[in-house]
Amino acid sequence: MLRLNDVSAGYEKPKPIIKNISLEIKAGEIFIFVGPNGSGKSTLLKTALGLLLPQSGSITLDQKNLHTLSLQERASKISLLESQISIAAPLTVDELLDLSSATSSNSLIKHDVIKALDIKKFLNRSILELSSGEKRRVLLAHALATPSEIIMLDEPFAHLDWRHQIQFVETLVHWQKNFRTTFVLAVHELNLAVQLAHRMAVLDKGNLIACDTPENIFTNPSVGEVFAFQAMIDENPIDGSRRLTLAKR
Amino acid sequence: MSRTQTLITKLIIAFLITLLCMLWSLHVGTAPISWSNIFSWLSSLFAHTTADNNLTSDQNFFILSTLRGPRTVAAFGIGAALGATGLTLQTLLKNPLAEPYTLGLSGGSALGAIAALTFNLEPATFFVPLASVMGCVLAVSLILALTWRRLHYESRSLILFGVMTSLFFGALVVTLLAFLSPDKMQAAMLWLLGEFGTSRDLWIFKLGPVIFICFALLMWRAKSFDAMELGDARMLSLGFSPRQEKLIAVILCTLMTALAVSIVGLVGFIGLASPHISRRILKSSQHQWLLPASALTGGTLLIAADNLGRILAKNSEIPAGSISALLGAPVLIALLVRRHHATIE
Repeated sequence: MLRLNDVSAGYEKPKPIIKNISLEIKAGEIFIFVGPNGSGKSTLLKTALGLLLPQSGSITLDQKNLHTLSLQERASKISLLESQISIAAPLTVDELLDLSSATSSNSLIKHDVIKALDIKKFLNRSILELSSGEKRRVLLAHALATPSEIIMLDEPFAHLDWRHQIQFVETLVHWQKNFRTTFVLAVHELNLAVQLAHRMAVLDKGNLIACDTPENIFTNPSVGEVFAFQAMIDENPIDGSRRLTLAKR
Repeated sequence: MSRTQTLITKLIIAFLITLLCMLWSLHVGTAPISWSNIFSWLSSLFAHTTADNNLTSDQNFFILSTLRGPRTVAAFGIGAALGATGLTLQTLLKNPLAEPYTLGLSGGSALGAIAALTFNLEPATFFVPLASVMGCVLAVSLILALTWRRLHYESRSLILFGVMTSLFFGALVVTLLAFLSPDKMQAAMLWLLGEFGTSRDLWIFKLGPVIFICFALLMWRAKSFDAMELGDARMLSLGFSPRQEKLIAVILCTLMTALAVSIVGLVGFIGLASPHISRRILKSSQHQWLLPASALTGGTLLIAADNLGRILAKNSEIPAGSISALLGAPVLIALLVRRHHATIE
């Protein structure tokens, strides 16, 4: 369980990017942050990882303060894949997957992620030669193979084509069910977020606007204000999943 | 053959090439020594035979034991240090053009070393390397002040900054030279060019173990350097402290560069070329393989440069640093033109 107690954090001392955020993410849930560009989603994820120190407030993992845990303990509990990673070295895809776990490599998990993200055909290629969508899939596979209880992914769907987006939604659900992994995502694709999330949180200008189930989030008037839309959630007539319909306000 | 076996085989071949290059280094020079003499000298070294006086008094044996042997070991140790340092700096700064020379680390070390020489600090075996380390720390501080926030500072600006630092330190060194006596000035000038065959070659037997320990520590952190390629968030996610691992890398690079420079002077491009050659040959980016490969490549390249310097100039020597610059500068230019730097978004 990840808990943020009144957390403010940012890159410069007097100007926090996220302000007084309090929320709790339960073990085994898929929790999704949404919000306009610059609303503080990435900053919040980096703070939860411990990469940024909170300027005030505290973060606890299973009732223990994040910053008192050893690095190994912390890594076994929480990990983050950022939305942008610059790599200068010609790592092969296989090497990148082997790097997922600093201590041991679990060949079963590795086999699973290779299949789930459809990356078998470029296992031996250098990551520098791949297209942006292919690189994204490889990095997602790397992140999924990390054996931490909470996996945070910043914009996992960016650069993926439609088929791989849907495939990745299924993979996350499968992972959460089978391995009881907790997923914390920051996402711009609202329709995918609605299908996937157990609970969602809306951020705007560093403030937490709402934190609720997808159904309740989109009927919340202050959320409509943030995005300047009217939203409706009903059942998708084709497959029975949640369907989000948006209209400009 | 499994991937690991292939990589080990390649490392063994690299090691054998290094050995051949060392033998070649014992052979060439103003007084060529026959292969049979070299082999009997080597066997006397390894067999620890209480050498019978006939052989030890032999002039060739004297040259091998006191001049060429130490020279070969020094060239290997320093080349290996520069190769491993170059690789680590490229990873640390996420910059394929980084190396001790282009970043100005060597320049800082040379400044310190020559300052110690100028002020006649004795014993030189202790004070010159110490001053060299201090000079290197100065250069590293300058680089870090520029790049600490964004360690993957844009390649070309970083190299420009490094070259400027080098030039500045070079100018300071030349200023210092004006205060030296003519004979010392000569020695100091050759230092700036990176020369073997001085009495400092013997220092390798004192400084070599320190360099080796630094290298062993780099090997110990190999996995964290792999993670470093992926940025701070992934380092933390995999259980490595970005700050701590980078600090370890910086300290080890500083020490290795400074000690290497205190023996031979300024040698450029070995640290740049070795990691690139190793990557190309191994087709791997894992530091557990790249570090030994870069060290072997660096050692071999520097021995070869030194050998060429002895062969090309009759009755004299071209400093190894000049040879490596002659061959290395075009490599840097080629890399600048066709840079391997991709950003994943």
